[in-house]
Amino acid sequence: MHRFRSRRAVTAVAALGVTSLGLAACGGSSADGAGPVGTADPDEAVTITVDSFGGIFANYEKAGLLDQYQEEHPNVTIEYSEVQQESDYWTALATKINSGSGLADIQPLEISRAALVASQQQDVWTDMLQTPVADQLEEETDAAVGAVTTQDGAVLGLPTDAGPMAICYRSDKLEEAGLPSDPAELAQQITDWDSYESVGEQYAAATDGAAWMDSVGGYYRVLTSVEPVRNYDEEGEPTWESNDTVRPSFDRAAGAAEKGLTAGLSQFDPAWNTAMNTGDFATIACPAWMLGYIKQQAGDENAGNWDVLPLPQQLGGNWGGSFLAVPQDSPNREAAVELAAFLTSADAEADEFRQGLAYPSNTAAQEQTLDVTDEYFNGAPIGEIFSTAAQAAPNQPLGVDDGAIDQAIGDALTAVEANGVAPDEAWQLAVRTINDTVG
Amino acid sequence: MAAHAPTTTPAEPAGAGHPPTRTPPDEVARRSRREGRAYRRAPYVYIAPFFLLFGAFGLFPLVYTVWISFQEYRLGGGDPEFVGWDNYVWLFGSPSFYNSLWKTLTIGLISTVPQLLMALGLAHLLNMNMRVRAFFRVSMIVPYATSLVAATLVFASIFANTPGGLMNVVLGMVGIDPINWTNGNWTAQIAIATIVTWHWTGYNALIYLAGMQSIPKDLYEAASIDGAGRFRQFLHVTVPGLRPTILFTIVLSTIGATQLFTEPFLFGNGAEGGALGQYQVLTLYMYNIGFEIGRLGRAAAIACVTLIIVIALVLLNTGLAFLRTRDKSQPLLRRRRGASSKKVSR
Repeated sequence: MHRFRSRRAVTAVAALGVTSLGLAACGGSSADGAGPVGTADPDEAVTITVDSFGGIFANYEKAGLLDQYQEEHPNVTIEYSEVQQESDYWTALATKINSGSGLADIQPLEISRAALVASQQQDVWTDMLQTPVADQLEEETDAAVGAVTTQDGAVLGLPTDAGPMAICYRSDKLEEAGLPSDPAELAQQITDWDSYESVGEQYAAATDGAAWMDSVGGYYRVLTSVEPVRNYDEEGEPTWESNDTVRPSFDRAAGAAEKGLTAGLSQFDPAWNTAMNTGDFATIACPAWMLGYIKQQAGDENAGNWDVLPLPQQLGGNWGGSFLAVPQDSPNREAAVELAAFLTSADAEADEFRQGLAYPSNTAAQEQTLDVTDEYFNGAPIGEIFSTAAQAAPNQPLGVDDGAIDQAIGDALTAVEANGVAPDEAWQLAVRTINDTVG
Repeated sequence: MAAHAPTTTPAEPAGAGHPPTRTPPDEVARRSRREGRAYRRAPYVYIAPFFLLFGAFGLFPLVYTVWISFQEYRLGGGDPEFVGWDNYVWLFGSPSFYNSLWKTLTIGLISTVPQLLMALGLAHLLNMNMRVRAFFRVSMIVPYATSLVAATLVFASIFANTPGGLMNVVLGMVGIDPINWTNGNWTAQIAIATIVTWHWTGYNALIYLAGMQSIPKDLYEAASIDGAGRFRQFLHVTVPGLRPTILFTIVLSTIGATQLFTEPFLFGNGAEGGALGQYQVLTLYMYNIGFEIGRLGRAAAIACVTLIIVIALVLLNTGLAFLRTRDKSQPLLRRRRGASSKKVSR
């Protein structure tokens, strides 16, 4: 702790502190970046900086898109840096926005932040409708574009990918347990969530209690993803406490945990990663991007041991997806917008998916890739499965505090699974936490 | 630095006592006054860089935090908006706040108390005549020099929930069922306290060792002539002699316990501190509200309250230790002073 012996010095330094406080408060957002954006000069050398997360740009690089763009545009140099965790990325990004400086020319935004971005950062990001690439937005779904549309109708980013949901499963483990391992036969047994759980009970019985699902949180995620609303209604009002999605899904997921169908793992924990390799769980709710994650964690030795099953009843849901946004203050705005448009174009996104990377958000790209199959997943027709799921996915309204609400409910589910707390009590706990943090 | 210097009237100018020379007396007086002023100003100039840096990186954030705590201010959105005491009202009505206060206290107690006791014992052993003493002393500091992040990750795998976790294997050998370390209330706290204890025990032991070496040897000689064994010497000579050092380590540990962050943060892979907040200490709660939920105003209010709690705890600890010192060790201190002055006179 800091101790002072001189009152005068304290006053002087305090005055200094208050002065700089005033200066800091003045450094707000500038409005001069709000106008329309022109085209970039193709002869002027430009370095486009990118600050990214979660492998978005690593995927572009792997797919050869960055090299391709720099070859076609010799004046452009792309420099990107990337962190893995979106939460770390977001904290750093939000701090930069608060301080008013330090943003790169392109910054991806995750869909769970979209509501906050659209409601409170309209002065930070370029309106893509005011750029020469606005037409490209017509190929995107209403759900994706709507997520980053402000009240005034500005669209603050270009959608990069989507996360239509399916169920990935260990066909080898199912076979060992005497269950059908072929997706068509399995689909005949799993016709709704109830039968999904009862097949899980058969699996548990045949394997001496091995876990059917990876995590209670993952199950809750897929259950809520197929419903028309989640935490908020269309007017942006929080309805999680009383609507037909959250509580029923919570009860179902908690029930599965109580039946011992879940593996007691937290998603993205090291133990969860390992379990993908060892087969400590048999099924996992998997958005399109999870396939790449599974390949990476389960390793080559498990090639062919995994398969993909569409959700029962032709249900569709979405989990995740990102947007490329360009700050209004970026000195290379024109060039950055053009690069972002190239990376999110139908051809580029289709290219990426064919190489086993992210699934396209662009509907034209989805149509181009209907024939894609995945050898690692037993040749599953993932192009068709995910396209069907994407079309069936509801256009769920998002809310500013989705993250905090999901976190509290996830914690409550863990409490049921790991601490043996009764579902009712855990729900009350979540209600209290959410009202406390969000209210 | 002398705080009152500029406020008092200037003392006798440095050259005033000299007999007048050929230069006119008022000129001499003026020059010496000037020199006197420069002489008096010098310390302030020397110390200015510290205060400028402290102002920019210490005081400004402090003042700014207090200011933010009266605003509604979201991470990544909008300008701050004055809301008066709202954030504090919210904080004192929040059950999670009281939970985090309680967890800070319990983890602080179960990490600090064994830590300081063990450090005391280790220092006593290190103070004895033994072979390769330097080796043992240096190895004491190794945990402290180890990266806390690396250590926490290692401990997280030691306290893994699975039956294959090292601690569960060890417990299995004595017939105890595997423990769900991270999800249990006390087990998670014990695991975190273990990391803290491991990290700081050696450091405190070395501080105690330094303190012990300043205790005059003749006190021990006198005690052994009186027939006191090793343990009685430890109890009646070492511990009372170490009182100021113990006080220092208690103050440091109190501050450290209140600001505990890295260990629980990495142990739980986030700032929620477990599904039921089993180990959500104050700083974790602050991080959770500020950077995960994104309410900077509320987080600032937590920071301000934490600061007040730290100050109160330190004052309380100091006061308690001071009272104990005055009650019990007065005669001994006098005796010790007598002993050392005798030593000087010899």
